[in-house]
Amino acid sequence: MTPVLKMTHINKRFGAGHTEVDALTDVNFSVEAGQFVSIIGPSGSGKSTFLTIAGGLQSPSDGSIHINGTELSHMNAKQLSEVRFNQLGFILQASNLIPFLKVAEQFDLVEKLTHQSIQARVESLLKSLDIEDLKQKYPKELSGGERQRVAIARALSNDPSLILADEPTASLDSEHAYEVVKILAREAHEQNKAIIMVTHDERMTQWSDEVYRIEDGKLKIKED
Amino acid sequence: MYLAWKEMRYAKLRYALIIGVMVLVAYVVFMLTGLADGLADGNKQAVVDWKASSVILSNDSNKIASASSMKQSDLKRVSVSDKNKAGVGYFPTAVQHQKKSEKQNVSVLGAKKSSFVVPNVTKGRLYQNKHEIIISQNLANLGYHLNQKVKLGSDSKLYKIVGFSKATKFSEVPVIYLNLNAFATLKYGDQVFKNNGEKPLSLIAIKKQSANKLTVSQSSDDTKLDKLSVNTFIQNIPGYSAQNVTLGAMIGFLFVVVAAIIGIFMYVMTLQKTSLFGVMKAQGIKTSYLAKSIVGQALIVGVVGVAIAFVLGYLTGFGLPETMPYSTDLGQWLLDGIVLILVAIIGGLFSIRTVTKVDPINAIGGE
Repeated sequence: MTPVLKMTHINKRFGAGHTEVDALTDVNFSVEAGQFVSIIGPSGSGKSTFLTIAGGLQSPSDGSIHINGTELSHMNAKQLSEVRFNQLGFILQASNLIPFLKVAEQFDLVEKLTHQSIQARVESLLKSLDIEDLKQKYPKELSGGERQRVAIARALSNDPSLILADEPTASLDSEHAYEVVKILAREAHEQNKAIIMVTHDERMTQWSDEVYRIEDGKLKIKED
Repeated sequence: MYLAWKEMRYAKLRYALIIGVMVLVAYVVFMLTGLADGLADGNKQAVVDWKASSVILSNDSNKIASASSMKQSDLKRVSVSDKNKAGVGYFPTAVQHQKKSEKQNVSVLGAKKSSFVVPNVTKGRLYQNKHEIIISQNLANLGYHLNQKVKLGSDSKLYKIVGFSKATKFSEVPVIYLNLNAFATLKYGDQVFKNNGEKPLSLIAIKKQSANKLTVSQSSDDTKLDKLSVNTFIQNIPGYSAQNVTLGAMIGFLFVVVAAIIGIFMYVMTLQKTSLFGVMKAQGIKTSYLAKSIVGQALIVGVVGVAIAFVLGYLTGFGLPETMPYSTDLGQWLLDGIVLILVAIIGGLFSIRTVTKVDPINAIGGE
């Protein structure tokens, strides 16, 4: 089976000469459909750089990235934007919702941009995340946990194969944080999605199929 | 447009304020246009009513009717059939009620009652002899009525109002028509003329013949005459061009103001939303979609603001006093409105560069 995301010999350097910094060093990584993978690391470890490269937001200095078998390094900004829109979902720390759209309208916007009906999909997502009653609310009217659940639904709404979650629990108390991580694990397994979660919180990794540790730009599988 | 609308609905107050500013500026533009048109009409309306194509003035007048002077016999020098040429006397003066002291400035125009420049009488009849006059409706509205006797200029004899014509103005004041003998008396008092041909005229109005096709015979002892198109004649009415240029410049400046206001507003709104735009770009929403949404908002602000100002300006036209020259030229307003909406859009375009420069990488946590 083709991995959903495959990163081979990725290096990322910032700056040049004596100010040069290696953000990522020889990173090899792949994730398959139905896998929920956690990447754990302290701040400054290269987590965010890893995520931005995996998401096609910046290109690596060396190495190659394939999403569903397609190489990203030759794509222009517009093509990358299309890949992100169709194949990737982002869940961000603070929430990726648009503040002036009601919950239901967040999905209407996706529908308008894809020109495909996603209503049935959205309905079942909202049901499984138990946020059906929030459709007519604005993001600011939701609690942090509700907001992240809507954000998960938004990220899954256009049926991407890969979800990148950047510290999705950072703004939540532990009870809500556990709940969000459990949902992510469930969606990965039930919907057959590849989900990568980046976090600094060890406690959040217990539902993951695999846990990696990133430190000083080097990615290693975590051994307990 | 979906995003544009939804955001405006969400941030009602903000967008209501900017639409409010747009309404005010557009309203001032319409008011100034109304005023400019009103003043322009007041200056030239009587001449426009003639539907003449060209005008002949004496050369020494420097294209100004009040300074132009010629003889009735000069009419014969113009190679146009009698019904298409009219000798006109112009005399700015004041009219006064027989028993009241207050005076009203008027433009007195003398012409043969059969000539084409004399307007249709809407009430009463045409003048038949020297001391009968017809007055424009806007003068009648100031308290003058049919069969009333009035004093004109310095003539000691009274004139009788025998008819009304539609409201019109020349040189910003109402118009009185009377015959050429009366004009001669008003302008030259009791001076005696050898024959009718010696009696004075100010100008000759020509119908259906453009100025450059007219021929005017010229011998050495004739008054030197100038042929002008009606348009040139109007442009040379004292104050007419100065007025139009001044008001036109103010309107033009307001267009720049609109572009600046909308530009600054949309720019500030865009700066506030850069992190959101970053997130949206990371999600794969195209920059062009975001840019369209900003321009769409500028368009909505422009259209709504102009529409409200249009209605306000139109209603204002009914509430203004007679003395304020104001004319609602819907064609001109439509043009103003379109320009206002266009400059609003140009204002919105300023922010596009900022949206383009937002890097989606900022959406992912800060290391």
